[in-house]
Amino acid sequence: MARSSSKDTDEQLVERVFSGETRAFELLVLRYQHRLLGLIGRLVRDPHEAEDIAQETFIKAYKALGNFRGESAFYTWLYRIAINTANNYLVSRGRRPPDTDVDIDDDEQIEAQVALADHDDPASNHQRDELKKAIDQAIAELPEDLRTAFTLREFSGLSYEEITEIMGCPVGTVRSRIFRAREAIDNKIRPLLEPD
Amino acid sequence: MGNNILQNQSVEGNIEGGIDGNSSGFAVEENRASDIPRAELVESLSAMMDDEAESLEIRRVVKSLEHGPELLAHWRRFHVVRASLQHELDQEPTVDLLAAVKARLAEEAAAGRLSNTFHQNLLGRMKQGIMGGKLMRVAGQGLIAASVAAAILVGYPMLNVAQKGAGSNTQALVADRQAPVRDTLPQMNGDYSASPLTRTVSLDDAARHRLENAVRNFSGTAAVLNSNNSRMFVNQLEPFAPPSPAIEQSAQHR
Repeated sequence: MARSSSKDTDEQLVERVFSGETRAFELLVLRYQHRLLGLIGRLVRDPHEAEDIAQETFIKAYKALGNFRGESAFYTWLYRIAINTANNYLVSRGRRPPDTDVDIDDDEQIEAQVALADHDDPASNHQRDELKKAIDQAIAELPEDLRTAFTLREFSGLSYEEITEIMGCPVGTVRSRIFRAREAIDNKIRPLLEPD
Repeated sequence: MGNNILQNQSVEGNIEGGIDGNSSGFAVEENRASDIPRAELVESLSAMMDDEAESLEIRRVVKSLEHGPELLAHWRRFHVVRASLQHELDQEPTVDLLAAVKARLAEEAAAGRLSNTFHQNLLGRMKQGIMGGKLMRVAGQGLIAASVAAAILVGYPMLNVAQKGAGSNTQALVADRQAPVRDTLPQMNGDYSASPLTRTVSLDDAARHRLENAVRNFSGTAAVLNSNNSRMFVNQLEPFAPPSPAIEQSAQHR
């Protein structure tokens, strides 16, 4: 079965927006908000400013969607808008943008090391820790076949095809196992994420 | 977690209406999205997380967003888990970012700042052959609808003006809309003069006949447009605005 390539999901969501189904953009916002906040947070060093700039970035991206040609990944395109918006913001506040561009290749690694002011908030830290603990516990409680498939996908970043080769089962089974693993984890963390 | 910052992202609170505050206005496909079992849709979401979903699944998921908040909430939670596992949850928004984005876009649409010139921009791109194949095809499909809407929107004022003058004068006064008028009117014999705001066109009998036919053709569509469909067309155009030069330059130079 032919599968979509990595950037196809985003491209297709953009296509849906072009087709008039503007809600597809909501999926893109939810998909990239965390990465974007991490990136912008590193530039401006203030979580609240980072939120404002992230909001502005998504708005600019939506307005400029006609410029997205699908030649690069959607996140790469979004990333450039975010960097530009953050730099403009810093300049407008009389602050100096970072001397060097944040390299998108280093993006994920650096995000893990970032120290934002928000990190010092004990309540936020506690909430994050609690969520992380619940997720770890949910993963540990998964049946082995689900846990293996989920781990290979989420931590090792393997494609379904590659997982298929490792686990010796059809692609459909891999897909189903990963889905069931996500559902199981979701059931555990939902109470933590939804209002009473 | 008590008063959890994560709870501020109440997806359920955002989901009424589209990103522009309106539903897409498109008819649901043959397989009605609302009839698809929830588990199947969530499995599609899971595949979309991994960029392993089929095109049809993605289309179904997007269509299903209109049927309730659950899917979007699922999508969000899946990404919170991923962000946590990949240490990207260092800053969870303290505000509902999606709701804020939607509110801003709705505001801009209401203020007319999301203009319908997007399709003109896109048309320019298509003429120049700039856009890549797949996006170009989809954009082209959208453009057809947008162009029809634009033609009708231009045609409707013409109808009003022409009806006033029909039968009494061989001159039709066409207000405003300089460029579209040239593109829309049938070719006419006779004198032609233009000013910045109005054009006076002198017509011989044959040309007047053609013009009246054209107006009649518009009138049928315009009547439909004047009912509910007008909003749909306008809303299709509203979300798209011409790019800000700053963004465009930035995106292209990097």
